[in-house]
Amino acid sequence: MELSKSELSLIKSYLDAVRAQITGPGRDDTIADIELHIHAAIEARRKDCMEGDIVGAVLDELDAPEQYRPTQDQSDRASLTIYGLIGACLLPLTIPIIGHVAELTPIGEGSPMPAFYQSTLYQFVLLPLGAISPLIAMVLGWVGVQECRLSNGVKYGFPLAVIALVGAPMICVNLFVFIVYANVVYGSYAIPSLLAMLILVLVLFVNVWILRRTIARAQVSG
Amino acid sequence: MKSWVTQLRKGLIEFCVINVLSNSESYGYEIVTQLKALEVMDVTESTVYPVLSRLKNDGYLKVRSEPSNSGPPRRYFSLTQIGQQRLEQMNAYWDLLNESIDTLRQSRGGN
Repeated sequence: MELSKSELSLIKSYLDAVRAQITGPGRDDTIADIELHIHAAIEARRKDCMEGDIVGAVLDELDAPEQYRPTQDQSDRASLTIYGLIGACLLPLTIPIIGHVAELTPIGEGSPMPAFYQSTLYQFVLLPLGAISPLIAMVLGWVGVQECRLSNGVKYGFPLAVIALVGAPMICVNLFVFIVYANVVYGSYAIPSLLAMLILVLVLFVNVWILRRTIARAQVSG
Repeated sequence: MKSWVTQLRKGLIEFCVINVLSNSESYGYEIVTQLKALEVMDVTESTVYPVLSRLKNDGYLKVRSEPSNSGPPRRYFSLTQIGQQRLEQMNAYWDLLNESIDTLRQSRGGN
């Protein structure tokens, strides 16, 4: 026998309340199991020929959503993923290279810092560091994501690890878009400023969308 | 006393869940029902499901989905190979612990 819309809505409200209490990547599995538990309990009651508000009775018998809140012991053990943190911290090391690339585009013409890019500090320290750090950040980000997914809430900082993982590819794509944009807008193919602004807003929107989607997908697959 | 019992029960839930699955696969509702029958354990869904999820993430359990007449497909849990090893280790340790505590109590003339 199918459940009515109002009964399904009651079940969904309960599951949403439980979801709000649970942290960690095992959350979706737990919610799926509780949903199955509710349906199995309803089925069992129907087999026993019970009448009346079966869904309400089943939901009343379940633990209150607050019961799913992590215990103090679990909260005390929780710690930030160090891999995700270091990975995310490495990303700013690419800033000098981004500046250098910008300086090479038409936007950078007349920049006050060209000498800096010829310096020993840049050539032998910042440039190699900036070139290698995105790769290390990606590896650390991946380790951080796995660590959070498998820790069942003991490790937090999942978004930080995702930023470390996808940050470097996003920087590369954005840098490419920026080079094209700079050459189109400030180079020989000048386009209206409103269109240029729209392109920038679109690029920003795509970045936020990619980041949000990556986090959501990684959490679901956890 | 209450806190000691709570801590003891909490530590034993994983042991009980793994033992429920020792012989055959089972789905969540069935596992909870079996554990609820052990009144001394005072088990509820909010204690069992997070443990099932953790054991699955740790690789001790695997899940198989099967269509159900009512609601979403049922998720059947069973022990993996390392889950079986874990079961043997836990049971061996439980027997040892039981034996040692019994010996201690007898030597002290406890009751």
